[in-house]
Amino acid sequence: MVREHLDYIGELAETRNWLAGERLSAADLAAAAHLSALDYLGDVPWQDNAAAKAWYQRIKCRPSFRPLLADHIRGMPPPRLYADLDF
Amino acid sequence: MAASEVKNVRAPTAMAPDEIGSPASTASPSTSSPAPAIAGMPRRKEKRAASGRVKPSERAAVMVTPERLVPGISASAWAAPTAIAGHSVMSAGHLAMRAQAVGSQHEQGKHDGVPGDDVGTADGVDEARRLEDEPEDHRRDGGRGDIEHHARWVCQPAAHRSSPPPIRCQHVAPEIGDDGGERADMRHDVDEQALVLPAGQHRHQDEMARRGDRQELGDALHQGKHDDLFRRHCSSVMDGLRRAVRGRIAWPNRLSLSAGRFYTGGAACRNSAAKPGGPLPMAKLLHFPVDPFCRRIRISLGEYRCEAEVIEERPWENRASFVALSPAGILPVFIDDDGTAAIGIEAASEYLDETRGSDSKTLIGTMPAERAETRRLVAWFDGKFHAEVSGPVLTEKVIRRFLPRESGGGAPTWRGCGAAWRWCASIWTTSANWPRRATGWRASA
Repeated sequence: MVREHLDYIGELAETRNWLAGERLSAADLAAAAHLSALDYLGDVPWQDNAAAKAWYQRIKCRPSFRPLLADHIRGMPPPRLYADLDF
Repeated sequence: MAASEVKNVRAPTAMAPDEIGSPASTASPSTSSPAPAIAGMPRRKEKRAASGRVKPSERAAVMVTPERLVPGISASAWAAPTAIAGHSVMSAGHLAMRAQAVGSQHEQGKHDGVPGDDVGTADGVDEARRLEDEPEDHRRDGGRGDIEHHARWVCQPAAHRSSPPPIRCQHVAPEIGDDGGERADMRHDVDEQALVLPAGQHRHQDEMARRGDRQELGDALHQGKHDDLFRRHCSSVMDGLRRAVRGRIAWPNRLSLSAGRFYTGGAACRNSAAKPGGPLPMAKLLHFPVDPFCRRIRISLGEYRCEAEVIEERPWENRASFVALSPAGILPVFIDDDGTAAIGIEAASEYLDETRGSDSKTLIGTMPAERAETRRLVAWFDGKFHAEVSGPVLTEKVIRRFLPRESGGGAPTWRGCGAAWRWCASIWTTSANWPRRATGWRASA
């Protein structure tokens, strides 16, 4: 199921600068928020869609995203690539 | 002679070989006659016993127990402040009790003329008093101080060691190992340790037990110092709702964890202590770390360059002060510095855009078509994606770990997750925006 959504994100990211248009918008933030929560569990197959991965890399490198990469839930350490900008 | 031999063998006594009377048997009784001690024993049972013994395995035993019992053998796990956080909590109360015990012991020793370690005892008492008076956050550094406490205990004379220092931190272990394997026995370790500890040693032991041992994993949030904040925001409107909240939860102040403890990064959202009754220093955001909606607000705060104190909240714990503020029990809750509370993802995101945004710095857009497309995709991810992917996965893998067992909590499994899902749904789907979350995607799909 998540692959279909990744395909849609990749399709949007290939045709536009950001998901909703030329500017970064709440749509990018919403998609990144959901995917990063899954990414904390290591459940996102980034290798399946290069365009979606490139889009997520761009938004992951933003300074506003940095606090999320420092998250740590007790007893559930994030995977190694969670905070890696070159995942 | 032969008959007497048989008779003697059948009735073995200690004197049996001497009574046989044969020269050969007296010369060498051990070889010429059966040993009386084993005479008459059924030999076939020896074979049966031999076949029942444990046969050596072809494979060498795999040492898995140390890795399961000591969380964080690998370096990556020790980087987390998990293990030591609980240690300092326990060491203060224990140290106070130990100081009392040592002090009384020392007094008795002086009366009896036994030389005592004056310096060590005084240090222990002073240290305990200092820890009692210290602010919570300083005691919870989980760093060198805790190690020094332990070392000080080790260096004391054996006569003054009333009981070993608390090492509960090693038992407050995650149920899920770093390799993803489940630590099925860890919960029992916590229970056993709790039983071993003296009843009066830890003042909050009863509180822990009352809240269930699962809370040991995550240390339920005690934001007593923020209750005043909540009351200020909803004193008049929510009085009736507060009365309607079932049960009253006592939150031990001594256990109060610093709010936003899990939040360790980002200078933009650094905390400054909120003094009860004082002026609000900055905006606040109640969130849960892996909740996608809270994550979006946190990213938005960074994009808007908005400083806010982030406070972790767990809506399923139904804290009275939180329910009074957010009756639907939903996150995120953004509380502006003037006291305005924007509750829920829609309210918070729109509020941020309207108060922090501008035409050049907006996340929703300026033109109607742009805003419509943005909102369509936001609804896609908050509704469709959350309903199909992130909601079930996070509920199953994260939320259930924090739920009590009677509410469907436990290790992640796709079977039998219905209870947890229904329980969460009863809390979260009562939100006003849930119908839009759940069905909004159909309009845009």
